[in-house]
Amino acid sequence: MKNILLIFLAALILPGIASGKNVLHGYVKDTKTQEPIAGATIDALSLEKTSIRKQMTKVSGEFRIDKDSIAFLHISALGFKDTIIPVLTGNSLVILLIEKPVLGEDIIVTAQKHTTTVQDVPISISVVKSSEITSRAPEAIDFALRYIPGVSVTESQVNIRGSSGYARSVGSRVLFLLDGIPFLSGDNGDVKFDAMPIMNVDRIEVVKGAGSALYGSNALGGVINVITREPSDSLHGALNVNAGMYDQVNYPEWQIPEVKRRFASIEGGLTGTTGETGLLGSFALRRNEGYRLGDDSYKANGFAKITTPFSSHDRFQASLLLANENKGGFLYWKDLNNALFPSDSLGAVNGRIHSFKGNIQSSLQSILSEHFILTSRASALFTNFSTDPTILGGAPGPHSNASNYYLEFEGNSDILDSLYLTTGVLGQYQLVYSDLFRNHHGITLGAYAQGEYKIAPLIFTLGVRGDAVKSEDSATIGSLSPKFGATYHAGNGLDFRTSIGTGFRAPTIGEKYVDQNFSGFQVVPNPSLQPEKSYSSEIGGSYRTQNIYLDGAIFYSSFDNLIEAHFVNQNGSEVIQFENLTKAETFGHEEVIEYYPLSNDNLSLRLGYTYVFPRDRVTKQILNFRPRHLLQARVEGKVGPVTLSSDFRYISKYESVDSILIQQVPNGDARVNAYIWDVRIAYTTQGLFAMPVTFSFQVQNLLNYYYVEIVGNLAPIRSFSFRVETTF
Amino acid sequence: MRKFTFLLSLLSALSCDRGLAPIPASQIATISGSVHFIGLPKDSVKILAVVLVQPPPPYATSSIVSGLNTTIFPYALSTTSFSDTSYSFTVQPDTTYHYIGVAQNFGDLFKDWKVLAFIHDDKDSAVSFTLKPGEIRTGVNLVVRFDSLPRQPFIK
Repeated sequence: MKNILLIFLAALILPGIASGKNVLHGYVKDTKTQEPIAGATIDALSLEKTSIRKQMTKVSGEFRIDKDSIAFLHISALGFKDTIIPVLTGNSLVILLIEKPVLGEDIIVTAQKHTTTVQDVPISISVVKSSEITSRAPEAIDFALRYIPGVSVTESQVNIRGSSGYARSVGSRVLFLLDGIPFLSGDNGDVKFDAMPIMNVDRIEVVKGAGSALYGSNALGGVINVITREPSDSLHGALNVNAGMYDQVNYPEWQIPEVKRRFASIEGGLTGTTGETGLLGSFALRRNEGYRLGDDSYKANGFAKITTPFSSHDRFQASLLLANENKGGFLYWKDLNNALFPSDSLGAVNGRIHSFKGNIQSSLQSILSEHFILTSRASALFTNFSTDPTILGGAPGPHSNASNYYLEFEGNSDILDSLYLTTGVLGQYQLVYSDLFRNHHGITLGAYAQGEYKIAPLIFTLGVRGDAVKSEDSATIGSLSPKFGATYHAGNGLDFRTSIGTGFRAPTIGEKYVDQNFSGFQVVPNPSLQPEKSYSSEIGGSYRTQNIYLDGAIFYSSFDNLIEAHFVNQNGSEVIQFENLTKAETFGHEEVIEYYPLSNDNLSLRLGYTYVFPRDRVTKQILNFRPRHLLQARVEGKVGPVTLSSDFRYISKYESVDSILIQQVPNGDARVNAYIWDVRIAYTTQGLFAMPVTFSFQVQNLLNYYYVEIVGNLAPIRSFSFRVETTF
Repeated sequence: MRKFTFLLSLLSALSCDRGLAPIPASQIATISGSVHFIGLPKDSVKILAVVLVQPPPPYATSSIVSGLNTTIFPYALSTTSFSDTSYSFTVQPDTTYHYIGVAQNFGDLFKDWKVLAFIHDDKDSAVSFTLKPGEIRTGVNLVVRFDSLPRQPFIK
């Protein structure tokens, strides 16, 4: 890992914009993201390389230093490789530094809304890099989340440390961001995982714990930020082809001869830079025949990104994402003896589901002064789904068209040397046309402010955000979300952190206004739903050496007004309605160990264990769909051109599940502990025309272990796949 | 060596445990029979199904679809061909099912239902079934007379 980290430096002589002849003026930026690096140390050296004077860069990455007697500049910044450059004749410089990931010292942007290191934030963070994501050849990005310590996924709903269960894909209790901008549908408020451009994902950052003080609604249990790659300097391309099939099930009762169980995908992408404008684009086509009857899918998505500076003081980026899916309407099994057959219960028969997602977003980062950066972000997310008739010639099933528009202005300032301020205002507007939710719109306005006060070796963080949420005839809902945190760098790789944060989730238009007979349920609206609230706290610490990284935390979260679907008697009929029902709490601990036993990083081990005790504060019952134990282990070894890797996950049996679903689904109570073991082997060679080609073979769920994530849905059985990847 | 043996033992234990499995035949029960049609339907047949219902009547028409509070198991029949056919249900043993009949949906999925035939005794009351583990009950035959509807089990 470390041996691939080389100094990259460009010292560009720009037209003199410095105010004085003997003043050297410049900016320090991240070579990858082009973002300014604040707090970098500029050490002015003499010819003998002795220090003459020092200065720290401002929030804009800017520095001004007296040029007298200087022969070299030594630039150092946390998380970046130190470098020394000669001082040339010009008076202006742009210095590009390359990331220097030290074990456990990842550079992140999500926790504080600006570039920092994991050790500087007072809350637990996990980062998954692109190499790990793509090595598993996931069909959608939620698959990658299942391997992150403390994170479990129930169907498509993400649960961080027990914060969320399963609510029929309505209302995510984890805020999902794409390049820092919310990516939740306007109707259900759910995450469209299949739309994510896996090939162009640079990393995923997961903030564990309530994060509404910066991010507002939905950050009840945490924040997940999918960060896409930056365009490369020269023309590069990549092509991946993946093909495989699910194994046969062991029980004759479950076997379905007519399902071939094959899957395949092709992904391709190009990136490059022309002038100062970077371009990046990719596509993916996926076909999965499924391992269950009536559960196949066709998926296609495309992604394009452009980055360009309008001047030396700003940077613009925009991206377009399009995705389409056509899948079978498998809701749940017929019964445990027919676990791979869809239910023929009249309310559970669904036609095929068609969905489209389109997202366009942009951000402009402008350095307005040496102490102030303004970032503006805007996005428009369109989602649509429709359902075919269940019988030939019958009436079509439900459909919905939703739009989610977002605009934010964020300011970052370090006008006082020891105080870093982050402030912002934003607006969000949702518009829904649907036979399921009827036609509605909603608006959210928010403002936030956060200060990070550094008195080495301590950093204190204090922040607050106010939100006002209104949907049509409902009263405006206000929410104030404060947070406080502290980190302490004890030295010698030892760091401590503590934080207390608040979260809220405004009810989605789907939860408030659903008015439909759907899947056998008569669901009625409840416009008076109130937001869910939470606060979470943690105390943690980390320790790192050259080859080992340890991180541990104990945490406690409390939730109020949790929204759940339940039966109510309306005009003598039993109907289902979403209501604010539950007060809950979760507490537990999490430990992560990363170990690189060899000096050359050719062997790596990671082990994460999370214990969560999730219970209803009123009834004292265990909460639905929350595993109490979660263990994720990964081993990767490299021998020459061969890479072997293995993942193991243990998810303890849900102690409680949705009683409504159990009532509806035959054998709905069938569930077990889950043991999932994946293995893969990859071989990289210089192929045709000297292009590196990687051949890999992967077995997922090697033990062919049968388990459920949600009621009446057997999770993916053992599968074998072969993948060829090439880059040029 | 000890660690290696432990790892092998753990893996072999895991490989023996396959998680969920079908319920053994000795622990389930089956009800089956035939459906005989006399005549032709006079209104539209959107859905036709043999329904096996756990609680006794009456029922809300919407519960035919939702299954909520009624634990209804449907067995879908053809909506275009009304020739004799057969059906089969796998049921929970030692559980009483109070109603078995043929139901027709002729309009709104949640409202427009009628029963065309059901198994009843001499007093026109529904016959209940309780099967033992492993029991296979055959010959539970239903006769549909489209021009003569039986007593309806629905809440008025």
